[in-house]
Amino acid sequence: MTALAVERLSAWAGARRLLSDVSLTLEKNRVLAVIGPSGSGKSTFIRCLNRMHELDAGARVAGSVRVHGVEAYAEGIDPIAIRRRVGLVFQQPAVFAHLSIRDNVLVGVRLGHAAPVDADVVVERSLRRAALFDELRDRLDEPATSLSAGERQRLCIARALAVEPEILLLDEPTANLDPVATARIEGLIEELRRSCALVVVTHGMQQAIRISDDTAFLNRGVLVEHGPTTTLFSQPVQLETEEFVTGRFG
Amino acid sequence: MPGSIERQHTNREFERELKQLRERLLAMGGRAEQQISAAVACLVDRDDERASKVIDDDERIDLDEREIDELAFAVIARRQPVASDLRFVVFALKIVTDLERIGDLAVNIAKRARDLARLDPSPAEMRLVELAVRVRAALKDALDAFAHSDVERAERVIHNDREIDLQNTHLIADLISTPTEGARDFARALAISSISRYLERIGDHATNVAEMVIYSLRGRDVRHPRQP
Repeated sequence: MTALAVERLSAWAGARRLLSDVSLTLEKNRVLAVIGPSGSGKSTFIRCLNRMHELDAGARVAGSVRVHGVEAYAEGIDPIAIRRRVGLVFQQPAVFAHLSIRDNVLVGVRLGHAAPVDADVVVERSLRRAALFDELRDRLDEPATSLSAGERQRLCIARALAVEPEILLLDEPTANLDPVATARIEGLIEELRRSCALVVVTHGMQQAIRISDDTAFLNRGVLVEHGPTTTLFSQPVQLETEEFVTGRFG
Repeated sequence: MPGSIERQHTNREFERELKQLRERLLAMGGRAEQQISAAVACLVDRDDERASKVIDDDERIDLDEREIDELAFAVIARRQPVASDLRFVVFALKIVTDLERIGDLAVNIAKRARDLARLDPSPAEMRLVELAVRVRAALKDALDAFAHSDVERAERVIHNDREIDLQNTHLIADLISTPTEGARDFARALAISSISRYLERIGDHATNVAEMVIYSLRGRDVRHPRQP
């Protein structure tokens, strides 16, 4: 089942074109790694997938993004509803310092649901899926700032999972983490793919190989190559891909 | 892969390590070639001393194998290579075994040549020399294909291996059909057929090298093609 279908997606910041006619699809229960040098359009690409890009002043998007068949950019579609279906976790673990661990998990749920939810159930389920519950079950009322960088990042993932997205976008989720915390996040990605599709922006070639089924290589806003990860890293078709993945530029 | 990679790695140390691995492989290949020539020269010249040198020199090739393995493992551990770099390191680890086996087979040839040196020359020995020339050329072409990134030359090596197989088959068939008169004739036929087999196997190892050259350059596995 196709979770995500992107067709001729282009994005601008003012007059500057950041993405040019990117087309690809992602099946459910698969992980797509997005690689490319700095400024290649990786973050813009995933921010277009959940309509975050348009929040920037002067930003513009053209093309099509379908989430399980629903056009995200169709007229009348509520961007917030799309952002709930397509969760985004940033590189910097953004926790709400004045809120407890429990309330950090519940932020998205409380903002989006008119009807009351069983908060304890949501918190436990989300923290379990983020492989945090056993560590934090006795500390739920402590401030989120008491957590380590790795735990904060998993808390952000738990918060994104609390609204049960169909697609989860992770923008360099391990950029600031130590090897142990990185391994935990990578293990978590492996777990999460059972229930949703994931798109992970990463600067680590080896991380892309470890965690993803498919890889997309972007350069200067153009999708240079997209295919199964093992093929792209052993026998890339494009010379530009070969030169990037072997460390000849970027 | 269309086009050829001209850019160097941003990391110069990585570039240097790959260059060193490549140079070590070519040097080992050159030594293996020399060992084949020297082993066959023992046969032609009835040179017992030279045969002993071939046997002793095999140690250098064994050392090459160990050192190249270490280099390749170090590159994997330090750099975690991908794409053409990964294929090249896999290529190195595979062909180093073929080159080492070629060294061993040259030693076997030298030992059988020593046996033959105690017997009168036979016309079949000239056919062995012809086969050896072809086999050495196959190895040289396979190594040149590697040195010059020449897929066509590698494909020719694979294609020409059939000729080597046929030459070996005919030589052994002729030996079998030639009547032997006593133990000396039998010992000669046995040594000649062994050397012919060793040469044919060297041809197979040269073919392996050529196949891996194609894999390394094109990412295409041409081993074990299905028969139509």
